[in-house]
Amino acid sequence: MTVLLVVAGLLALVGLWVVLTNNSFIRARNKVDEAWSGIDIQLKRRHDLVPNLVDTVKGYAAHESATLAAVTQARAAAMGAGSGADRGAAEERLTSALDGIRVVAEQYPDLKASQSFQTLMAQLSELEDQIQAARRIFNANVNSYNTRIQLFPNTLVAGGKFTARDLFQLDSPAERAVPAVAF
Amino acid sequence: MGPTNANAGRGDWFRATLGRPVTITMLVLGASAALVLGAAFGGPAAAALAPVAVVVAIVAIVWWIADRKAENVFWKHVADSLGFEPFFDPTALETTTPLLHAGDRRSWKHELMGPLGESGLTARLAQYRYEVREESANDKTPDKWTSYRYTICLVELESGMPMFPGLYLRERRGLLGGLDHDWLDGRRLSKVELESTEFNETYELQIASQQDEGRLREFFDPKTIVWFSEHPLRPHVEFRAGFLVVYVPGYIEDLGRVVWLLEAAERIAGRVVAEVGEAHATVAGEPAPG
Repeated sequence: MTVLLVVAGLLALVGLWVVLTNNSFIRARNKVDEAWSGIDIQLKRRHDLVPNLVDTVKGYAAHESATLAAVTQARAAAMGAGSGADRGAAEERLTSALDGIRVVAEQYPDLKASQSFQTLMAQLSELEDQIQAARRIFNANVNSYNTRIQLFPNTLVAGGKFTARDLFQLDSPAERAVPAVAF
Repeated sequence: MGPTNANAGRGDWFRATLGRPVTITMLVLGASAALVLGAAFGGPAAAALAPVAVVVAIVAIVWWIADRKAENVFWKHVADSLGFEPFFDPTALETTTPLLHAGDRRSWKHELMGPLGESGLTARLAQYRYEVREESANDKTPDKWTSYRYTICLVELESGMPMFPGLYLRERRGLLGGLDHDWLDGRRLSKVELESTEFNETYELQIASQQDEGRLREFFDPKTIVWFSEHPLRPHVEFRAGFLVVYVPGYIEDLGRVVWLLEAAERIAGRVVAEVGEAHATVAGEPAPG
């Protein structure tokens, strides 16, 4: 009888642990999804800003049609991209294309001095900072979630139901470039 | 160049005070009197111990005086560096937020007031302590008082009052933290978790029932969440009735951390002002500023 009670108690403890661990995985996964929606919101805001920016630049630098077309195409590709690595690559291309506008602005002083262009560029810069911050939150959540489901004995509960998520990489080529140091 | 912390110069003040003629006279007279009185009323052992006790007591008092002096000089230097002035009647602030109204007894030290960076706002900076009384079980033993110390920076932001009826952010307390006095106990607040696991593991965010959660999430944009998560001071926040209090547990006693606290208050006040501006612009039908 005593042995049965001990076994039942142990089983109850194991059951409780499984339930609590499972719930903690669900909470962590939900936080990953929530953080992803935070990135998505900021990226959509950037997509919404691009047409205004292109129109403004067109008014001052109509000859830069190649740069503007590249931005428009990159925006369309980013809006149509799925999620994960594809989305990251598409957004990275949009970032590069938008850098092209910054280069164009250097060649057109009237454009650079325009109030609406300055406002849009300030908004773009703020949005890019927000995207970076949202990405850091997302990646930190993914790391926390992945670690949680991959640690033993949590793996026993995770099984195939909880799978590791990918980080969201959105580093601009400029960020990745190793600075050349001359001595 | 002034002292960088409240303990800097304490040793110098101690030595200077100890070397003053009045202190030496007190030591000599006190020890002699203790020796004579000890010998007269207590025997040889008392005659030996009484002068030592008197000397130790006088040295301890001198140390305490030097400590206070160094602290006052430091805070004078803080005020001069920041362009702050002392302010009076801090008890008027005790009706502003729950923390400043906590406990059964409150006291303030080093109250200073001045410009909050470039924001155009005014900051009130102080060391604040509240005490909680635990009544004695009988008349023979005195009540027990437990004190809690904070360094606070208070900013009046009346414009934010309608948007933020009650926002309370503080560092998450561990299992044992629940045993401490909680000045938010008994208030109708709800806990909110933001999208960042790191933030949620670091902080505990509570809001009043009237708080618009959408507005709250706009206030805590990704940059702000990351800023809070990574800030070395772990700034705590109370915002109620148009009063923003940014605070940290314990007394800050070095200039660098005082500046950090003020910068944190400026950053948070700036977010409130930006949110209010955005809300007004949206209501007026204008495009919201970036």
